[in-house]
Amino acid sequence: MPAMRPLSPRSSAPSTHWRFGYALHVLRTSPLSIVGLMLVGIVLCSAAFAPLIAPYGPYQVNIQERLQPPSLKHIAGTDDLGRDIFSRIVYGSRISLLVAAAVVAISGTIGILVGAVSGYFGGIPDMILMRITDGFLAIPSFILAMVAVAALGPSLLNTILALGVVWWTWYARIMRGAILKLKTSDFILIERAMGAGRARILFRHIIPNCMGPIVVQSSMQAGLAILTSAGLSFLGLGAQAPLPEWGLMIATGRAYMPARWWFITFPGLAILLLVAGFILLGDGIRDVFEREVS
Amino acid sequence: MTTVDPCPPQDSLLAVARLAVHFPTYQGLVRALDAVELSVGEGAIVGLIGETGCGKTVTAYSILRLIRSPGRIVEGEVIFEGKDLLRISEGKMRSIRGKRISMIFQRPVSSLNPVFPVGKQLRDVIRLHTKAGKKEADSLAIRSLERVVLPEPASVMRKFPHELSGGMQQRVMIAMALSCGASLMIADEPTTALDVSIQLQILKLIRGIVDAGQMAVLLISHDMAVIGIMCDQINVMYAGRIVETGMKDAVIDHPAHPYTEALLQAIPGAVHGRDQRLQVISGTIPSLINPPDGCRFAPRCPRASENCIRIYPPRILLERDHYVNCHLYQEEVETGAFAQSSESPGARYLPGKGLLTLTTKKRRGTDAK
Repeated sequence: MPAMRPLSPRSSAPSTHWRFGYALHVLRTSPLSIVGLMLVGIVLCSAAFAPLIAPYGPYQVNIQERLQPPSLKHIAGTDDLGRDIFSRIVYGSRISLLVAAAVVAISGTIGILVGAVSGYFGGIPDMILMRITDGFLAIPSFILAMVAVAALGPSLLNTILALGVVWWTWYARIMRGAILKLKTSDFILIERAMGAGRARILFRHIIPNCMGPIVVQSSMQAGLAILTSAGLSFLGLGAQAPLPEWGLMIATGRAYMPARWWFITFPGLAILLLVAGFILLGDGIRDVFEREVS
Repeated sequence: MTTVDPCPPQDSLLAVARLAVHFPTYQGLVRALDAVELSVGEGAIVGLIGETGCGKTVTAYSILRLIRSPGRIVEGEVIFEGKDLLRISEGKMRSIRGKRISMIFQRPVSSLNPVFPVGKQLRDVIRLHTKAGKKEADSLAIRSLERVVLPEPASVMRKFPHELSGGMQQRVMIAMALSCGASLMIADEPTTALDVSIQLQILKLIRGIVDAGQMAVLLISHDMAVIGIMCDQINVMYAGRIVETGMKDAVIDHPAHPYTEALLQAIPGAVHGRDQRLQVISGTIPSLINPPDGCRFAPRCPRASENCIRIYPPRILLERDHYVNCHLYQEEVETGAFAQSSESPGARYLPGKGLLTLTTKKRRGTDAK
């Protein structure tokens, strides 16, 4: 072995810790993404600690105090059954986050697999899968989700299933594009030269490398899932009473407009803030990944 | 040596014969490789030199059967450790890649998967080819990092590729290539992307590994200086064909093919002083879609004759292990005029007991269009 002056490693800081710090640093340079992170964080906390935050139970009916305007006792007023709207919003965040997580998980899994097979194997499977994807994309996804829910029967679970099955197309497209770019890269070729088989390359090298855009898409998708499931609930196709679902609360409150404005305003604001939070966060994450690349 | 075997010596580790690779394109069929003959002896460093686009990398990929569709190996054999790699199953081929023949690439920066620590990648390769458990694979990985003289191998294992410098990344790649005990490493321009001071370190490292008897290396480069320092044997490639093969001293001191000679003259300061103009080879490499019938270097060759343009020159044995594909020597061989005259044009080197060899396959008649 030739004696050589050893090269010293560039940094000795523990790398994972440093990477996380770097991500925070990049996020900090974009104030909007910090706002997004905070909004999502607030909703996460309220979902986790709902019983501590909410002054009343979500199903606690008090007919004497129905349709009360916002006051110190009920900071967001009460609804037609005298339930505290703020408490229902706080508990409702659990439903919204559950919908978001479940829809992202279902559509992400389907989309990643479809996109991976399509991009990596190419040829005939690619053509078939991409034409199916095009078919889904050609029909507005909200309409498609409505049809699916109408067919399955209105319920929260069916909303999740319908959105999951309808929304994988974006993941498939993103995944396919990322794989086409990666497939010819040096380290994939090296992996082949080192004797790895196709499945190993696909699952252990290509898919982990495509997670950046997938994470960004998931954050956006989570926001849209909440918006759409609220929309479906509003139309009576999603969650059913008495669940404290935000869209459903708006649907009920609609009858009391405009005199009882608080009935729909506060659930509406909750939807707005959470959806905006996810989308801003998605933008911020994208910035982090883009800096990482350059 | 009185008769010449078309195939390289039997004791060689790798013997490539008559290798032809075609790539169909919209413009026509690109004959990227044509009748390539190459051999690598055990524990030797064999150089493959040629300019960009002449087929060096395609040769390397063909040996490992990594040619991407629609490219296709249409003819030839790649005998490695007694087996023809072009005729074994893909599964068997996978167990050879990385385990028996490994490869390092031009750009170390993009050769490692950016999302995993290098240790995991080394461990994965080791576990792919051996039955080693996680801990065992880790200790094997650390041992191969030590062999490539990386300091603090245990801490390097935890690093992500972007935390290492280019030279360190290339060392990791070499460690990966060593890790499963391959007997041949194909190094495709291993130093091209590195800065000069690191280049020498990496070359020394490769030399050290070979000298320690651990593996043979097929070193691909466009840099005559690198090839000259490193190799025991040199193959000169031009437009998809090997034009000259010989031991290092023979090729460098007595280049036979006009292309080799021109390559050597193109090294700054090698043949002339610093106040003289650098010799360049005029023209560019010919299109491989409809390559010229005759010698492919003929259009750029200062000594080309009528014959050179019409007929592809056969492979001629000049001296022990020194072959050239050039008409300049054919006549002399045929007429028996083997007189030594080191200054005669195009024949600075003259064969001692050379014989015309009839090894070159007739050019394949299939046409692109």
